[in-house]
Amino acid sequence: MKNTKNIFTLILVLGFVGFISGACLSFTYAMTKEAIAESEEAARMEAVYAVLPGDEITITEETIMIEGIDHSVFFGYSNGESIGMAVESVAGGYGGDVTFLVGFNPNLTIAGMALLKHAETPGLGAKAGDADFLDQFIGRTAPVNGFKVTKDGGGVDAITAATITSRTACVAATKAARLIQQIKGDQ
Amino acid sequence: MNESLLLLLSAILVNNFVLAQFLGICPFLGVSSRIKTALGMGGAVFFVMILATSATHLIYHYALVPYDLMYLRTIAFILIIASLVQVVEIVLHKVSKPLYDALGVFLPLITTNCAILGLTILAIDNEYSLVKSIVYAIGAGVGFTLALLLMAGMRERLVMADIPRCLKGTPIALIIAGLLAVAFLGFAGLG
Amino acid sequence: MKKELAHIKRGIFDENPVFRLVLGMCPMLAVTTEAKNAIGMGLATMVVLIGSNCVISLFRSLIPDRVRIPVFIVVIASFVTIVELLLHAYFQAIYASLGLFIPLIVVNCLILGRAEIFASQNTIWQSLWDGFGMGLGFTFALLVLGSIREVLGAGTIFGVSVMGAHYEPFLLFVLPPGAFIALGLVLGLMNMLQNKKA
Repeated sequence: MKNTKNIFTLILVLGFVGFISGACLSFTYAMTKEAIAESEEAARMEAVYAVLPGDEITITEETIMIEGIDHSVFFGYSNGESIGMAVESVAGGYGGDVTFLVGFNPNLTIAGMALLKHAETPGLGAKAGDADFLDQFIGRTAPVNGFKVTKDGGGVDAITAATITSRTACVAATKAARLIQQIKGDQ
Repeated sequence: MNESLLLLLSAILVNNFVLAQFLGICPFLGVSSRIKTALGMGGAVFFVMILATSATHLIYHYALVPYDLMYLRTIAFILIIASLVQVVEIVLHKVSKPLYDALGVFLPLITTNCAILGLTILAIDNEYSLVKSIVYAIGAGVGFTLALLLMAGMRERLVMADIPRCLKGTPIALIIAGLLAVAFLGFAGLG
Repeated sequence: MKKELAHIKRGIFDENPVFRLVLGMCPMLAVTTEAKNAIGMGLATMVVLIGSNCVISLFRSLIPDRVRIPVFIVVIASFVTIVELLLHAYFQAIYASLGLFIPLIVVNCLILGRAEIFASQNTIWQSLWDGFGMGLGFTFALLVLGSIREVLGAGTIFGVSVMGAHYEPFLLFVLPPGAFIALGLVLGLMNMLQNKKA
Protein backbone atom coordinates (compact mmCIF):
# COMPACT_ATOMS: atom_id res chain seq x y z
CA MET A 1 0.00 0.00 0.00
CA LYS A 2 1.38 3.35 -0.94
CA ASN A 3 1.56 5.66 2.04
CA THR A 4 0.95 8.96 0.37
CA LYS A 5 -0.44 11.99 2.12
CA ASN A 6 -0.91 14.00 -1.01
CA ILE A 7 -4.61 14.80 -0.97
CA PHE A 8 -4.59 15.50 -4.67
CA THR A 9 -3.43 11.95 -5.38
CA LEU A 10 -6.09 10.55 -3.08
CA ILE A 11 -8.86 12.38 -4.85
CA LEU A 12 -7.41 11.38 -8.20
CA VAL A 13 -7.39 7.72 -7.21
CA LEU A 14 -10.93 7.84 -5.91
CA GLY A 15 -12.10 9.63 -9.02
CA PHE A 16 -10.36 7.10 -11.24
CA VAL A 17 -11.84 4.15 -9.39
CA GLY A 18 -15.25 5.73 -9.57
CA PHE A 19 -14.86 6.33 -13.27
CA ILE A 20 -13.81 2.75 -14.05
CA SER A 21 -16.60 1.39 -11.89
CA GLY A 22 -19.14 3.65 -13.56
CA ALA A 23 -17.93 2.58 -16.99
CA CYS A 24 -18.16 -1.13 -16.16
CA LEU A 25 -21.61 -0.72 -14.69
CA SER A 26 -22.99 1.27 -17.62
CA PHE A 27 -21.62 -1.38 -19.93
CA THR A 28 -23.27 -4.20 -17.97
CA TYR A 29 -26.49 -2.24 -17.78
CA ALA A 30 -26.55 -1.62 -21.51
CA MET A 31 -25.97 -5.33 -22.13
CA THR A 32 -28.67 -6.52 -19.76
CA LYS A 33 -31.30 -3.81 -20.22
CA GLU A 34 -33.25 -5.68 -22.86
CA ALA A 35 -33.03 -9.03 -21.13
CA ILE A 36 -34.30 -7.45 -17.91
CA ALA A 37 -37.30 -5.90 -19.65
CA GLU A 38 -38.04 -9.24 -21.30
CA SER A 39 -37.80 -11.13 -18.01
CA GLU A 40 -40.13 -8.71 -16.27
CA GLU A 41 -42.64 -8.89 -19.12
CA ALA A 42 -42.49 -12.69 -19.21
CA ALA A 43 -43.07 -12.88 -15.45
CA ARG A 44 -46.04 -10.57 -15.73
CA MET A 45 -47.63 -12.39 -18.64
CA GLU A 46 -47.07 -15.80 -17.09
CA ALA A 47 -49.68 -15.01 -14.48
CA VAL A 48 -52.15 -13.70 -17.06
CA TYR A 49 -51.95 -16.89 -19.12
CA ALA A 50 -52.47 -18.87 -15.95
CA VAL A 51 -55.70 -17.16 -14.92
CA LEU A 52 -57.43 -17.08 -18.29
CA PRO A 53 -59.17 -20.16 -19.66
CA GLY A 54 -57.97 -22.03 -22.72
CA ASP A 55 -54.57 -22.91 -24.08
CA GLU A 56 -53.91 -21.16 -27.36
CA ILE A 57 -55.01 -17.63 -26.61
CA THR A 58 -53.85 -14.20 -27.60
CA ILE A 59 -53.82 -11.51 -24.99
CA THR A 60 -54.17 -7.79 -25.41
CA GLU A 61 -53.70 -5.29 -22.64
CA GLU A 62 -55.49 -2.01 -22.11
CA THR A 63 -55.40 0.62 -19.44
CA ILE A 64 -58.91 1.56 -18.43
CA MET A 65 -59.77 4.27 -15.97
CA ILE A 66 -62.43 3.37 -13.46
CA GLU A 67 -63.42 5.81 -10.75
CA GLY A 68 -60.33 7.85 -11.36
CA ILE A 69 -57.83 4.98 -11.09
CA ASP A 70 -56.04 3.41 -14.02
CA HIS A 71 -56.38 -0.36 -14.21
CA SER A 72 -54.50 -2.80 -16.38
CA VAL A 73 -57.06 -5.04 -18.01
CA PHE A 74 -56.13 -8.08 -20.04
CA PHE A 75 -58.44 -9.37 -22.77
CA GLY A 76 -58.05 -12.93 -23.94
CA TYR A 77 -59.02 -14.05 -27.44
CA SER A 78 -59.19 -17.46 -29.08
CA ASN A 79 -59.83 -17.50 -32.83
CA GLY A 80 -61.09 -13.94 -32.66
CA GLU A 81 -63.60 -14.66 -29.93
CA SER A 82 -63.37 -13.17 -26.48
CA ILE A 83 -62.73 -15.92 -23.98
CA GLY A 84 -62.27 -13.84 -20.90
CA MET A 85 -60.79 -10.87 -19.11
CA ALA A 86 -58.32 -10.51 -16.28
CA VAL A 87 -57.66 -7.62 -13.97
CA GLU A 88 -55.29 -6.84 -11.13
CA SER A 89 -56.83 -6.28 -7.74
CA VAL A 90 -55.16 -4.88 -4.65
CA ALA A 91 -56.40 -5.38 -1.09
CA GLY A 92 -54.91 -4.64 2.30
CA GLY A 93 -53.30 -7.67 3.87
CA TYR A 94 -51.50 -8.70 7.04
CA GLY A 95 -48.13 -7.23 6.13
CA GLY A 96 -49.22 -4.65 3.60
CA ASP A 97 -51.00 -4.50 0.28
CA VAL A 98 -51.51 -7.76 -1.56
CA THR A 99 -51.94 -7.84 -5.33
CA PHE A 100 -53.95 -10.58 -7.01
CA LEU A 101 -54.65 -11.18 -10.68
CA VAL A 102 -58.18 -12.47 -11.25
CA GLY A 103 -59.32 -13.93 -14.54
CA PHE A 104 -62.99 -14.10 -15.56
CA ASN A 105 -64.95 -16.11 -18.08
CA PRO A 106 -67.36 -14.24 -20.38
CA ASN A 107 -70.20 -15.16 -18.02
CA LEU A 108 -68.36 -13.42 -15.17
CA THR A 109 -67.47 -16.57 -13.25
CA ILE A 110 -63.91 -16.68 -12.07
CA ALA A 111 -61.59 -18.53 -14.44
CA GLY A 112 -58.49 -18.31 -12.34
CA MET A 113 -56.75 -16.38 -9.60
CA ALA A 114 -53.08 -15.76 -9.02
CA LEU A 115 -51.07 -14.05 -6.31
CA LEU A 116 -48.76 -11.41 -7.73
CA LYS A 117 -47.26 -9.36 -4.97
CA HIS A 118 -47.38 -9.68 -1.23
CA ALA A 119 -45.61 -9.17 2.05
CA GLU A 120 -47.40 -11.91 3.94
CA THR A 121 -45.85 -14.44 6.26
CA PRO A 122 -44.05 -17.21 4.43
CA GLY A 123 -45.66 -20.56 5.12
CA LEU A 124 -48.84 -18.93 6.35
CA GLY A 125 -50.30 -15.96 4.53
CA ALA A 126 -48.05 -16.65 1.58
CA LYS A 127 -50.12 -19.80 1.06
CA ALA A 128 -52.72 -17.50 -0.43
CA GLY A 129 -50.73 -18.08 -3.60
CA ASP A 130 -51.15 -21.84 -3.50
CA ALA A 131 -53.47 -23.53 -5.96
CA ASP A 132 -54.97 -25.43 -3.01
CA PHE A 133 -56.45 -22.21 -1.74
CA LEU A 134 -57.07 -20.20 -4.91
CA ASP A 135 -58.65 -23.00 -6.94
CA GLN A 136 -61.77 -22.82 -4.80
CA PHE A 137 -62.60 -19.47 -6.41
CA ILE A 138 -62.77 -20.99 -9.87
CA GLY A 139 -66.24 -21.21 -11.32
CA ARG A 140 -67.77 -18.93 -8.70
CA THR A 141 -69.52 -15.64 -9.16
CA ALA A 142 -69.13 -12.93 -6.58
CA PRO A 143 -72.06 -12.97 -4.13
CA VAL A 144 -74.05 -9.76 -3.64
CA ASN A 145 -72.13 -8.71 -0.54
CA GLY A 146 -68.83 -10.10 -1.72
CA PHE A 147 -66.79 -13.24 -1.11
CA LYS A 148 -66.41 -14.08 2.55
CA VAL A 149 -64.58 -16.74 4.53
CA THR A 150 -66.66 -19.34 6.39
CA LYS A 151 -65.91 -17.55 9.67
CA ASP A 152 -67.69 -14.49 8.32
CA GLY A 153 -70.62 -16.47 7.03
CA GLY A 154 -69.39 -17.01 3.51
CA GLY A 155 -68.36 -19.99 1.43
CA VAL A 156 -64.62 -19.55 1.17
CA ASP A 157 -62.42 -21.96 3.12
CA ALA A 158 -59.76 -19.92 4.85
CA ILE A 159 -56.14 -21.02 5.18
CA THR A 160 -55.47 -22.45 8.62
CA ALA A 161 -53.93 -19.79 10.86
CA ALA A 162 -54.05 -17.23 8.04
CA THR A 163 -57.57 -15.88 8.28
CA ILE A 164 -56.54 -12.31 7.61
CA THR A 165 -54.76 -13.10 4.36
CA SER A 166 -57.68 -15.34 3.35
CA ARG A 167 -60.03 -12.42 3.93
CA THR A 168 -57.74 -10.24 1.83
CA ALA A 169 -58.07 -12.70 -1.04
CA CYS A 170 -61.86 -12.51 -0.74
CA VAL A 171 -61.80 -8.72 -0.79
CA ALA A 172 -59.50 -8.75 -3.81
CA ALA A 173 -61.68 -11.24 -5.70
CA THR A 174 -64.79 -9.18 -4.95
CA LYS A 175 -63.08 -5.97 -6.05
CA ALA A 176 -61.97 -7.61 -9.28
CA ALA A 177 -65.50 -8.86 -9.96
CA ARG A 178 -66.89 -5.36 -9.49
CA LEU A 179 -64.27 -3.91 -11.80
CA ILE A 180 -65.02 -6.44 -14.52
CA GLN A 181 -68.75 -5.81 -14.14
CA GLN A 182 -68.17 -2.11 -14.64
CA ILE A 183 -65.94 -2.69 -17.64
CA LYS A 184 -68.47 -5.03 -19.23
CA GLY A 185 -71.21 -2.59 -18.45
CA ASP A 186 -69.33 0.21 -20.15
CA GLN A 187 -68.64 -1.81 -23.29
CA MET B 1 -51.35 11.79 10.59
CA ASN B 2 -53.01 8.45 11.12
CA GLU B 3 -50.99 6.94 8.32
CA SER B 4 -47.75 8.16 9.82
CA LEU B 5 -48.61 6.69 13.18
CA LEU B 6 -49.41 3.37 11.57
CA LEU B 7 -46.16 3.46 9.64
CA LEU B 8 -44.25 4.14 12.86
CA LEU B 9 -45.97 1.33 14.73
CA SER B 10 -45.35 -1.01 11.87
CA ALA B 11 -41.64 -0.28 11.68
CA ILE B 12 -41.13 -0.41 15.43
CA LEU B 13 -43.27 -3.37 16.39
CA VAL B 14 -45.01 -5.29 13.65
CA ASN B 15 -42.17 -5.38 11.15
CA ASN B 16 -39.34 -4.72 13.57
CA PHE B 17 -36.21 -4.31 11.51
CA VAL B 18 -34.16 -6.70 13.60
CA LEU B 19 -36.59 -9.29 14.88
CA ALA B 20 -38.87 -9.56 11.85
CA GLN B 21 -36.90 -8.36 8.87
CA PHE B 22 -33.43 -9.60 9.85
CA LEU B 23 -31.71 -6.30 9.27
CA GLY B 24 -28.95 -5.15 11.56
CA ILE B 25 -28.15 -8.55 13.03
CA CYS B 26 -24.38 -8.10 13.25
CA PRO B 27 -24.46 -5.09 15.58
CA PHE B 28 -27.46 -6.65 17.29
CA LEU B 29 -25.36 -9.64 18.32
CA GLY B 30 -22.16 -7.71 18.78
CA VAL B 31 -23.16 -4.66 20.76
CA SER B 32 -26.05 -5.89 22.84
CA SER B 33 -24.20 -7.19 25.86
CA ARG B 34 -24.42 -4.01 27.89
CA ILE B 35 -27.30 -1.59 28.10
CA LYS B 36 -25.16 1.54 27.95
CA THR B 37 -23.36 0.61 24.73
CA ALA B 38 -26.62 -0.64 23.25
CA LEU B 39 -28.19 2.75 23.87
CA GLY B 40 -25.20 4.56 22.39
CA MET B 41 -25.16 2.38 19.29
CA GLY B 42 -28.91 2.67 18.88
CA GLY B 43 -28.70 6.43 19.08
CA ALA B 44 -25.90 6.65 16.53
CA VAL B 45 -27.69 4.32 14.12
CA PHE B 46 -30.94 6.26 14.60
CA PHE B 47 -29.20 9.48 13.69
CA VAL B 48 -27.47 8.04 10.62
CA MET B 49 -30.73 6.41 9.49
CA ILE B 50 -32.55 9.72 9.37
CA LEU B 51 -29.76 11.50 7.53
CA ALA B 52 -29.21 8.59 5.15
CA THR B 53 -32.88 8.21 4.26
CA SER B 54 -33.21 11.90 3.46
CA ALA B 55 -30.01 12.06 1.43
CA THR B 56 -30.65 8.87 -0.54
CA HIS B 57 -34.24 9.87 -1.27
CA LEU B 58 -33.11 13.17 -2.74
CA ILE B 59 -30.21 11.71 -4.69
CA TYR B 60 -32.37 8.89 -6.08
CA HIS B 61 -35.21 11.08 -7.25
CA TYR B 62 -33.26 14.08 -8.43
CA ALA B 63 -30.04 12.59 -9.72
CA LEU B 64 -30.59 8.94 -10.60
CA VAL B 65 -34.11 8.71 -11.95
CA PRO B 66 -33.96 11.70 -14.33
CA TYR B 67 -30.92 10.16 -16.04
CA ASP B 68 -32.13 6.54 -16.03
CA LEU B 69 -29.32 5.60 -13.66
CA MET B 70 -31.38 3.58 -11.17
CA TYR B 71 -28.98 0.67 -11.45
CA LEU B 72 -26.38 2.82 -9.70
CA ARG B 73 -28.59 2.86 -6.64
CA THR B 74 -26.68 0.30 -4.57
CA ILE B 75 -23.31 1.90 -5.12
CA ALA B 76 -24.55 5.46 -4.62
CA PHE B 77 -26.43 4.63 -1.45
CA ILE B 78 -23.58 2.77 0.23
CA LEU B 79 -21.18 5.62 -0.57
CA ILE B 80 -23.62 8.14 0.92
CA ILE B 81 -23.94 6.03 4.04
CA ALA B 82 -20.16 5.58 4.35
CA SER B 83 -19.65 9.33 4.06
CA LEU B 84 -22.35 10.09 6.63
CA VAL B 85 -20.79 7.67 9.10
CA GLN B 86 -17.43 9.37 8.62
CA VAL B 87 -19.06 12.72 9.37
CA VAL B 88 -20.80 11.34 12.46
CA GLU B 89 -17.49 9.92 13.66
CA ILE B 90 -15.76 13.28 13.32
CA VAL B 91 -18.60 15.17 14.99
CA LEU B 92 -18.88 12.66 17.82
CA HIS B 93 -15.14 12.81 18.42
CA LYS B 94 -15.41 16.57 18.93
CA VAL B 95 -18.72 16.71 20.78
CA SER B 96 -18.66 13.70 23.08
CA LYS B 97 -15.32 11.92 23.36
CA PRO B 98 -16.52 9.46 26.07
CA LEU B 99 -19.29 8.19 23.81
CA TYR B 100 -16.86 8.06 20.90
CA ASP B 101 -14.52 5.90 22.96
CA ALA B 102 -17.32 3.69 24.28
CA LEU B 103 -18.49 2.85 20.78
CA GLY B 104 -14.94 2.29 19.62
CA VAL B 105 -14.63 0.07 16.59
CA PHE B 106 -18.39 -0.26 16.27
CA LEU B 107 -18.75 3.27 14.98
CA PRO B 108 -17.20 2.73 11.53
CA LEU B 109 -19.01 -0.61 11.45
CA ILE B 110 -22.31 1.27 11.23
CA THR B 111 -21.52 1.55 7.53
CA THR B 112 -21.91 -2.20 7.13
CA ASN B 113 -25.10 -2.25 9.18
CA CYS B 114 -27.52 -3.78 6.72
CA ALA B 115 -30.38 -2.09 8.53
CA ILE B 116 -29.35 1.30 7.19
CA LEU B 117 -28.81 0.25 3.58
CA GLY B 118 -31.90 -1.94 3.82
CA LEU B 119 -33.96 0.98 5.12
CA THR B 120 -32.89 3.30 2.31
CA ILE B 121 -33.70 0.70 -0.34
CA LEU B 122 -37.06 -0.19 1.25
CA ALA B 123 -38.07 3.47 1.40
CA ILE B 124 -37.46 3.72 -2.35
CA ASP B 125 -39.13 0.40 -3.21
CA ASN B 126 -42.23 1.34 -1.22
CA GLU B 127 -42.28 4.64 -3.07
CA TYR B 128 -42.50 6.74 0.09
CA SER B 129 -42.43 10.50 -0.13
CA LEU B 130 -39.58 12.31 1.61
CA VAL B 131 -41.68 12.92 4.72
CA LYS B 132 -42.94 9.36 4.85
CA SER B 133 -39.40 8.07 4.38
CA ILE B 134 -38.22 10.08 7.36
CA VAL B 135 -41.10 8.77 9.48
CA TYR B 136 -40.18 5.26 8.36
CA ALA B 137 -36.55 5.94 9.31
CA ILE B 138 -37.58 7.14 12.76
CA GLY B 139 -39.59 3.97 13.22
CA ALA B 140 -36.72 1.81 12.01
CA GLY B 141 -34.26 3.56 14.32
CA VAL B 142 -36.51 3.28 17.34
CA GLY B 143 -37.28 -0.35 16.56
CA PHE B 144 -33.60 -1.16 16.16
CA THR B 145 -32.71 0.55 19.44
CA LEU B 146 -35.61 -1.16 21.17
CA ALA B 147 -34.48 -4.59 20.00
CA LEU B 148 -30.93 -3.83 21.07
CA LEU B 149 -32.02 -2.62 24.51
CA LEU B 150 -34.22 -5.65 25.11
CA MET B 151 -31.34 -7.95 24.18
CA ALA B 152 -28.88 -6.02 26.33
CA GLY B 153 -31.23 -6.18 29.30
CA MET B 154 -31.59 -9.92 28.96
CA ARG B 155 -27.91 -10.56 28.31
CA GLU B 156 -26.85 -8.56 31.35
CA ARG B 157 -29.02 -10.90 33.40
CA LEU B 158 -27.71 -13.96 31.59
CA VAL B 159 -24.20 -13.38 32.90
CA MET B 160 -25.39 -14.84 36.20
CA ALA B 161 -27.08 -17.85 34.67
CA ASP B 162 -25.59 -21.28 34.27
CA ILE B 163 -25.36 -21.93 30.54
CA PRO B 164 -23.96 -25.07 28.91
CA ARG B 165 -20.48 -24.38 27.55
CA CYS B 166 -21.35 -25.00 23.93
CA LEU B 167 -24.17 -22.47 24.03
CA LYS B 168 -22.20 -19.62 25.60
CA GLY B 169 -21.92 -16.44 23.60
CA THR B 170 -23.54 -16.26 20.19
CA PRO B 171 -25.69 -19.42 20.32
CA ILE B 172 -27.57 -18.42 23.46
CA ALA B 173 -27.87 -14.86 22.18
CA LEU B 174 -29.54 -16.19 19.05
CA ILE B 175 -31.92 -18.39 21.00
CA ILE B 176 -32.92 -15.43 23.16
CA ALA B 177 -33.37 -13.34 20.04
CA GLY B 178 -35.65 -16.08 18.78
CA LEU B 179 -37.78 -15.88 21.92
CA LEU B 180 -37.91 -12.10 21.57
CA ALA B 181 -38.96 -12.57 17.96
CA VAL B 182 -41.78 -14.86 19.07
CA ALA B 183 -42.99 -12.13 21.40
CA PHE B 184 -42.88 -9.60 18.59
CA LEU B 185 -44.81 -11.97 16.33
CA GLY B 186 -47.68 -11.22 18.62
CA PHE B 187 -47.80 -7.68 17.26
CA ALA B 188 -48.47 -8.94 13.78
CA GLY B 189 -51.80 -7.88 12.42
CA LEU B 190 -51.81 -4.61 14.36
CA GLY B 191 -51.73 -2.67 11.13
CA MET C 1 -2.23 -27.34 -5.62
CA LYS C 2 -2.18 -28.16 -1.93
CA LYS C 3 -2.06 -24.51 -0.93
CA GLU C 4 -5.07 -23.74 -3.07
CA LEU C 5 -7.14 -26.62 -1.74
CA ALA C 6 -6.23 -25.56 1.78
CA HIS C 7 -8.29 -22.43 1.16
CA ILE C 8 -11.35 -24.59 0.59
CA LYS C 9 -10.85 -26.60 3.75
CA ARG C 10 -10.31 -23.39 5.66
CA GLY C 11 -13.37 -21.71 4.24
CA ILE C 12 -15.70 -24.60 4.95
CA PHE C 13 -14.40 -25.75 8.32
CA ASP C 14 -11.66 -23.93 10.22
CA GLU C 15 -12.70 -20.39 9.35
CA ASN C 16 -16.25 -20.85 8.17
CA PRO C 17 -17.59 -17.29 7.77
CA VAL C 18 -20.83 -18.04 9.57
CA PHE C 19 -20.05 -20.76 12.06
CA ARG C 20 -16.59 -19.58 13.14
CA LEU C 21 -16.30 -15.91 12.20
CA VAL C 22 -19.97 -15.06 12.84
CA LEU C 23 -20.24 -12.92 9.73
CA GLY C 24 -23.03 -12.61 7.20
CA MET C 25 -25.72 -13.10 9.80
CA CYS C 26 -28.40 -11.06 8.04
CA PRO C 27 -28.65 -13.15 4.86
CA MET C 28 -28.08 -16.28 6.95
CA LEU C 29 -31.33 -15.71 8.80
CA ALA C 30 -33.33 -14.09 6.05
CA VAL C 31 -32.88 -16.26 2.97
CA THR C 32 -32.63 -19.68 4.56
CA THR C 33 -36.37 -20.39 4.44
CA GLU C 34 -35.71 -22.67 1.49
CA ALA C 35 -32.63 -24.61 0.45
CA LYS C 36 -33.01 -23.27 -3.08
CA ASN C 37 -32.72 -19.66 -1.91
CA ALA C 38 -29.75 -20.59 0.24
CA ILE C 39 -27.78 -21.85 -2.74
CA GLY C 40 -28.74 -18.84 -4.85
CA MET C 41 -27.56 -16.40 -2.21
CA GLY C 42 -24.41 -18.39 -1.49
CA LEU C 43 -23.36 -18.50 -5.12
CA ALA C 44 -24.18 -14.83 -5.69
CA THR C 45 -22.07 -13.89 -2.69
CA MET C 46 -19.25 -16.15 -3.85
CA VAL C 47 -19.17 -14.51 -7.28
CA VAL C 48 -18.93 -11.06 -5.68
CA LEU C 49 -16.29 -12.29 -3.26
CA ILE C 50 -14.08 -13.81 -5.96
CA GLY C 51 -14.51 -10.76 -8.18
CA SER C 52 -13.74 -8.19 -5.52
CA ASN C 53 -10.86 -10.25 -4.10
CA CYS C 54 -9.22 -10.50 -7.52
CA VAL C 55 -9.63 -6.84 -8.46
CA ILE C 56 -8.47 -5.56 -5.09
CA SER C 57 -5.51 -7.91 -5.14
CA LEU C 58 -4.68 -6.81 -8.68
CA PHE C 59 -4.45 -3.18 -7.66
CA ARG C 60 -3.24 -3.68 -4.11
CA SER C 61 0.02 -1.83 -4.58
CA LEU C 62 -1.69 1.11 -6.22
CA ILE C 63 -4.42 1.81 -3.67
CA PRO C 64 -3.36 4.48 -1.16
CA ASP C 65 -3.83 3.38 2.41
CA ARG C 66 -5.89 6.41 3.40
CA VAL C 67 -8.65 5.72 0.90
CA ARG C 68 -8.57 1.95 0.85
CA ILE C 69 -11.95 1.41 2.55
CA PRO C 70 -13.90 3.65 0.14
CA VAL C 71 -12.11 2.01 -2.78
CA PHE C 72 -12.96 -1.46 -1.47
CA ILE C 73 -16.57 -0.39 -1.07
CA VAL C 74 -16.76 0.92 -4.63
CA VAL C 75 -15.26 -2.29 -6.03
CA ILE C 76 -17.54 -4.53 -3.97
CA ALA C 77 -20.61 -2.44 -4.74
CA SER C 78 -19.81 -2.58 -8.44
CA PHE C 79 -19.65 -6.36 -8.43
CA VAL C 80 -22.87 -6.53 -6.46
CA THR C 81 -24.58 -4.31 -9.00
CA ILE C 82 -23.29 -6.47 -11.86
CA VAL C 83 -24.58 -9.61 -10.14
CA GLU C 84 -27.88 -7.81 -9.47
CA LEU C 85 -28.29 -6.90 -13.14
CA LEU C 86 -27.34 -10.38 -14.39
CA LEU C 87 -29.73 -12.10 -11.99
CA HIS C 88 -32.54 -9.74 -12.92
CA ALA C 89 -31.97 -10.38 -16.61
CA TYR C 90 -31.37 -14.14 -16.68
CA PHE C 91 -32.54 -15.61 -13.40
CA GLN C 92 -35.74 -13.75 -12.66
CA ALA C 93 -37.02 -16.39 -10.21
CA ILE C 94 -33.97 -16.23 -7.95
CA TYR C 95 -33.90 -12.45 -8.25
CA ALA C 96 -37.49 -12.28 -7.01
CA SER C 97 -36.93 -14.73 -4.13
CA LEU C 98 -33.79 -13.07 -2.81
CA GLY C 99 -35.18 -9.57 -3.30
CA LEU C 100 -33.76 -6.95 -0.98
CA PHE C 101 -30.87 -9.17 0.11
CA ILE C 102 -29.09 -9.04 -3.24
CA PRO C 103 -28.03 -5.40 -2.89
CA LEU C 104 -27.39 -6.11 0.79
CA ILE C 105 -24.53 -8.40 -0.24
CA VAL C 106 -22.50 -5.20 -0.37
CA VAL C 107 -22.64 -4.83 3.42
CA ASN C 108 -21.83 -8.46 4.11
CA CYS C 109 -18.87 -7.99 6.45
CA LEU C 110 -17.35 -11.15 5.03
CA ILE C 111 -16.49 -9.52 1.71
CA LEU C 112 -15.04 -6.32 3.14
CA GLY C 113 -13.24 -8.42 5.71
CA ARG C 114 -11.53 -10.66 3.16
CA ALA C 115 -10.56 -7.63 1.10
CA GLU C 116 -8.92 -6.03 4.09
CA ILE C 117 -7.35 -9.13 5.62
CA PHE C 118 -6.38 -11.14 2.57
CA ALA C 119 -6.81 -9.68 -0.88
CA SER C 120 -4.98 -6.47 -0.13
CA GLN C 121 -1.92 -8.41 0.92
CA ASN C 122 -1.77 -11.46 -1.30
CA THR C 123 -1.41 -12.44 -4.94
CA ILE C 124 -4.34 -12.54 -7.31
CA TRP C 125 -4.20 -16.31 -7.64
CA GLN C 126 -4.27 -16.86 -3.88
CA SER C 127 -6.98 -14.24 -3.45
CA LEU C 128 -9.09 -16.00 -6.05
CA TRP C 129 -8.86 -19.26 -4.12
CA ASP C 130 -9.51 -17.48 -0.84
CA GLY C 131 -12.66 -16.00 -2.31
CA PHE C 132 -13.68 -19.39 -3.65
CA GLY C 133 -13.02 -21.15 -0.35
CA MET C 134 -14.79 -18.59 1.78
CA GLY C 135 -17.66 -18.37 -0.68
CA LEU C 136 -18.01 -22.13 -0.62
CA GLY C 137 -17.99 -22.11 3.17
CA PHE C 138 -20.66 -19.44 3.26
CA THR C 139 -22.80 -21.38 0.77
CA PHE C 140 -22.30 -24.52 2.84
CA ALA C 141 -23.47 -22.76 6.01
CA LEU C 142 -26.49 -21.29 4.22
CA LEU C 143 -27.34 -24.70 2.80
CA VAL C 144 -27.13 -26.38 6.20
CA LEU C 145 -29.50 -23.93 7.84
CA GLY C 146 -31.71 -23.65 4.76
CA SER C 147 -32.16 -27.40 4.55
CA ILE C 148 -32.94 -27.73 8.25
CA ARG C 149 -35.48 -24.94 8.13
CA GLU C 150 -37.11 -26.19 4.95
CA VAL C 151 -37.33 -29.83 6.06
CA LEU C 152 -38.68 -29.01 9.50
CA GLY C 153 -40.74 -26.01 8.51
CA ALA C 154 -42.30 -27.18 5.26
CA GLY C 155 -41.50 -30.86 4.97
CA THR C 156 -39.70 -30.41 1.69
CA ILE C 157 -36.16 -29.99 0.44
CA PHE C 158 -35.65 -28.09 -2.81
CA GLY C 159 -39.39 -28.36 -3.19
CA VAL C 160 -39.42 -32.14 -2.99
CA SER C 161 -41.51 -33.54 -0.17
CA VAL C 162 -39.39 -35.66 2.14
CA MET C 163 -41.32 -35.99 5.34
CA GLY C 164 -44.33 -37.85 4.04
CA ALA C 165 -47.93 -36.79 3.77
CA HIS C 166 -48.67 -37.00 7.46
CA TYR C 167 -45.97 -34.59 8.54
CA GLU C 168 -47.40 -31.48 10.11
CA PRO C 169 -44.88 -28.79 9.21
CA PHE C 170 -43.31 -27.12 12.20
CA LEU C 171 -44.12 -23.67 10.86
CA LEU C 172 -42.04 -21.86 13.43
CA PHE C 173 -38.91 -22.71 11.48
CA VAL C 174 -39.82 -20.71 8.41
CA LEU C 175 -40.73 -17.73 10.54
CA PRO C 176 -38.25 -15.25 12.05
CA PRO C 177 -38.13 -16.79 15.54
CA GLY C 178 -37.36 -20.19 14.08
CA ALA C 179 -34.47 -18.72 12.13
CA PHE C 180 -32.84 -17.36 15.27
CA ILE C 181 -33.43 -20.48 17.30
CA ALA C 182 -32.33 -22.88 14.56
CA LEU C 183 -29.12 -20.96 13.96
CA GLY C 184 -28.46 -20.72 17.68
CA LEU C 185 -28.86 -24.47 18.07
CA VAL C 186 -26.70 -25.23 15.03
CA LEU C 187 -23.94 -22.95 16.35
CA GLY C 188 -24.24 -24.59 19.74
CA LEU C 189 -23.88 -27.99 18.09
CA MET C 190 -20.82 -26.81 16.19
CA ASN C 191 -19.29 -25.58 19.41
CA MET C 192 -20.01 -28.89 21.08
CA LEU C 193 -18.30 -30.79 18.26
CA GLN C 194 -15.37 -28.38 18.39
CA ASN C 195 -15.01 -28.81 22.15
CA LYS C 196 -15.09 -32.57 21.86
CA LYS C 197 -12.21 -32.44 19.39
CA ALA C 198 -10.13 -30.23 21.69
